[in-house]
Amino acid sequence: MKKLLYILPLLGLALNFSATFAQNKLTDATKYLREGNLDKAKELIDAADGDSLLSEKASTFYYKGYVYKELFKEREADAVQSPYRVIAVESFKKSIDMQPDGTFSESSRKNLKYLAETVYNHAATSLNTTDYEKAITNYRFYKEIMSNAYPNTNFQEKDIIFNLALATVYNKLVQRDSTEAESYYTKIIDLYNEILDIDSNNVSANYNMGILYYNQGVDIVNAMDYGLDLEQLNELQDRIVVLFKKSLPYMLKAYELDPKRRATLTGLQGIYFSLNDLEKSERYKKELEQLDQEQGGSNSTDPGSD
Amino acid sequence: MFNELTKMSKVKKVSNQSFSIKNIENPGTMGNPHILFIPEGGTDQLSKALASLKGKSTLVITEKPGLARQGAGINFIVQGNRQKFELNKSNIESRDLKVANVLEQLAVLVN
Repeated sequence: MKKLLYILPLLGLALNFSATFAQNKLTDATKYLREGNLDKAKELIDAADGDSLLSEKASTFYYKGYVYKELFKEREADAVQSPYRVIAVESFKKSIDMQPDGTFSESSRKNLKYLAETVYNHAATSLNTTDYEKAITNYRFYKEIMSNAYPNTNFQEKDIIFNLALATVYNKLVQRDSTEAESYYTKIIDLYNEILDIDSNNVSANYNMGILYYNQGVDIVNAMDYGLDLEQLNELQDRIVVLFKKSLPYMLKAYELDPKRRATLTGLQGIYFSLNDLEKSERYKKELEQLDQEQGGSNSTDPGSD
Repeated sequence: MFNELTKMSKVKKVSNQSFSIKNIENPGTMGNPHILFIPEGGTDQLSKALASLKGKSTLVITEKPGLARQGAGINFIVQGNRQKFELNKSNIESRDLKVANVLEQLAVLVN
């Protein structure tokens, strides 16, 4: 019994010492962080994360997020895919998860927003024919981070911008390698359809969808040669008409939204001509000529895409 | 159309035979063509052309609705946004020409 009376306080002292020692890791980590000694801060915050007491605290992960955010800024700011940034994000998320309305939650959210915006910027700079897959990954990551930080974030406007830009990249890839055209066309159509689901009156998506089908039809026409027999000609004509008919509603919508757009008028003129509706083709041709007179522009026959 | 046909005649042969395209102003002086194409704008010349081609094995092709019933052998039409052609077999056979089965199958037949 007497031994127990001695042991209990000693046990309490030992536990207290352990907690203090653990807290020192965290305190020291923040101290080195403030001093700008990121390597030391990282060493200590990683140790804190591995500590059985500290790994239960939201503050640990908040400061870990902060250390890794600073490491990202200092050493990987230009890296399109940054391991430091990923750890920073995970840490801030964990801090929020542990205490959604705690001391560190608002600051964690703001830091996540900051990191998300760097991810978004890297997605934007990767939207080219070489790095577009990184752009897609980063854009998804951006949305994931923002959804964690602010669950009610509306991404519709950014989805439209991103999808339009990505569709442009895919169009360039088609021009570069027509053997892969089918798979790229499918992706492009999916992107425009996503935009139109968000905003059925998006001029660019309507026009570009129209042009996409139109150009596929034109490609078939241009590939025809004098060696075709009547049956082949008939079959190709059927395919062409299907494509131009797919193009038409989008192009008409684009016209409805902006009747003074040169490229749309040119596209409609071409589509109706190809559908053998010369009356309507002439109508849009006249509107185009009128527009040229009003604007003093040149009469180009190539619609192109946005 | 004339320019496109001329371009085609320079690179293509039919059954290994070359062919040439002529622009005819006066149907009365056209000679003995294998094919006569009368564009929509020249439709008023159809009856004069048919008279001039009496007894000749010439395929007459037009591109205005109704002309397959007025002497043309083949008449281009638009149906369902597609370029199709009417074929009047008796108009063709009356000129000692035979109609290939595949042509008949692809055509809109007109009596």
